[in-house]
Amino acid sequence: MSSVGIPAGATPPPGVGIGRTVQVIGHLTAREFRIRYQSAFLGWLWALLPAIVRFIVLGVVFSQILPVTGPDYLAELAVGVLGWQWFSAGVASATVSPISRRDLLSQPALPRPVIPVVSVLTDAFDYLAGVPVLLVIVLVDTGGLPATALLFPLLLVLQGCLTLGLGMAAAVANVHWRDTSLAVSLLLAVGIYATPVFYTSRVLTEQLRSLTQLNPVGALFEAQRQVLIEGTVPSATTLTVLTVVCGGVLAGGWAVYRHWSATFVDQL
Amino acid sequence: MTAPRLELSGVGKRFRRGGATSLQQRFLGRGTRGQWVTALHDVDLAVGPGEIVGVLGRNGGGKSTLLRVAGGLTRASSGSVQRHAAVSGLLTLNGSASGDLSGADNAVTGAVLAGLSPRAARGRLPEIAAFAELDDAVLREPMRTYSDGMKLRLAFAAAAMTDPDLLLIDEVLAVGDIAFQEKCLTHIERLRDGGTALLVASHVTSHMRRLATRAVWLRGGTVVADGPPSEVIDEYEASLDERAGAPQDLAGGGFRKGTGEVRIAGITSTGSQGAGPGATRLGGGLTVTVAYHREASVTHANFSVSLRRVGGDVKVVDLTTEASGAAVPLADEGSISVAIDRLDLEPGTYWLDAGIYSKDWEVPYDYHWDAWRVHVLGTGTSGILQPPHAWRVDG
Repeated sequence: MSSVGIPAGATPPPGVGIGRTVQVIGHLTAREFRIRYQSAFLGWLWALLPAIVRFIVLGVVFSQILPVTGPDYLAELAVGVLGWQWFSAGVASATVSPISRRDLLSQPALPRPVIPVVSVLTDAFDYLAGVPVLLVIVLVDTGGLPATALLFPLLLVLQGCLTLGLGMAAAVANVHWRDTSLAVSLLLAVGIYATPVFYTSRVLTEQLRSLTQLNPVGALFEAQRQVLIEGTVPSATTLTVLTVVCGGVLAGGWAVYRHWSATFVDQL
Repeated sequence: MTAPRLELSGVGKRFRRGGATSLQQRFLGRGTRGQWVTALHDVDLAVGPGEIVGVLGRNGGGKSTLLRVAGGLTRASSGSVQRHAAVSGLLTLNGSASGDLSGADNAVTGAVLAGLSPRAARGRLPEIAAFAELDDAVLREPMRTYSDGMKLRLAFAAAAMTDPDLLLIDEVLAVGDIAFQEKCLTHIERLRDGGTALLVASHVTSHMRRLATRAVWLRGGTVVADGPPSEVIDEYEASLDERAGAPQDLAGGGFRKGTGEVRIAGITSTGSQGAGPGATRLGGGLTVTVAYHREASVTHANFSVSLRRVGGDVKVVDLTTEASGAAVPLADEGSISVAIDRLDLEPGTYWLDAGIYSKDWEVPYDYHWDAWRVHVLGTGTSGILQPPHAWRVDG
């Protein structure tokens, strides 16, 4: 039995260790995935289908209208589109998670950070469902899969950290001001064009390129394209900066969420 | 006494109400900063193994806030909260259920949220199903096919079958039919006797008399009484009657009691089908208007309207403004109406009683009974209700 004294300023209920947190996250994420796809006739294929359709349509459209597209454009597009899909869906659902899942906030035995984590992980499943399609496109488009692709999962973890950190911070704001989620949607709607999703930073002018490098999401996509398509390893500086930024955003978002989530139920 | 599992000392809780709720309000400066509301003030409380501490009090008295603070759902503004055991809570039922998933699936999630590991929760499934009185075939069905009663039974069973060390229960004891309620109460007693520490909030004093080993009466966030349940509950019930004072005769017949800050000026009712004042036809609606005047500076009040068969004690209809949300803002003179779409009561004569209460229901300002009648016109039977119906003869 744990013995935990909790002064007025402290937070987590006892019985809430790391092991329990991981178990609950696993259980709830699997459950969300089942809810999302169980009742549909095609089941989990619905997780896969949007990715395929989106790649085909965008690939056809953009290779016609963009003036400069490299030889591997379809693969580059697939990395960007799939990545952005997870990033935007994850941030958006994490932002509203304390309100849409307020039922979970009234469970004393539930660690509160579980709520946005489950949102981001559920959307990660959609990403993972799209990965086989992505790999097929890369194979077909470039004729092979470079060894550097082994670094790809690491970049996905970094992307998850970034998504979760931003989502947690936005979730705190959204509990206090409900129109935060609208502002987040707007930013995400604009962000898809400001980020190298449909294009790569190669096609940009030098000035614009250095500007997009300040965008960690874009930098992540570029790095993902490098390891998966070009077969080169991003510079140590790039990897370090990305790790520090993504880890920092997560640590910051987590701290903000931890502090404010202790009084979420007062606001709901 | 063994060491307590839950200790609250000097706990206070304040939060801001009515502040800006949107970015627009926040940054255009339209929202006020809101007002601080004190929900709890200097509460001391300890719950040990094998104890049930019952928290009594009217709505708004701070019961739910106390349980939330005790469970760590929200942070206390002052004082200290110490939990020496893993805490589990029955604070809301069914909030997390999904209609698309099976009952079994939802029951496992309920048990996981209550504190079990997923593996242990699956292991408990037969026990949960037995307690909820649902068989395997039903458990495999999606939850959306369940009746409300089945959902509540399953939710209670999933959360209660977890052998918690410290359990918080907020007003969920009165779920399901009488037989299931009895089962829940027995289960709570078994947990208590098995050494669980329980903190239970309820306004059902009969449950409290039976379960509690100690009772705490909260009013306006402050502990008014703390001690043996029978004493505290007697005191609590007496206070409700005492405040109201002795019944007084009304000039036009009937009785009133209450403190008189707000007075009922008249109770009128109109049927929906032109049956005239004070009457409606079987299957028709009824609009009841309570006129009042204010005698003291009271800003808000709750209203209640009830119907009793003449000669009977049981309220067949009991409507309150509480159910529709907030207390009603008052004017010096005014009236409030409640429109009942369909009454469907058995034809006959009913007493139309009405009351005006303070915002927290602690103080009855004015309550009139046996003073105003409503006639339901039509052909009577021996039932209580006469729902719309049709007979059909086959063959």
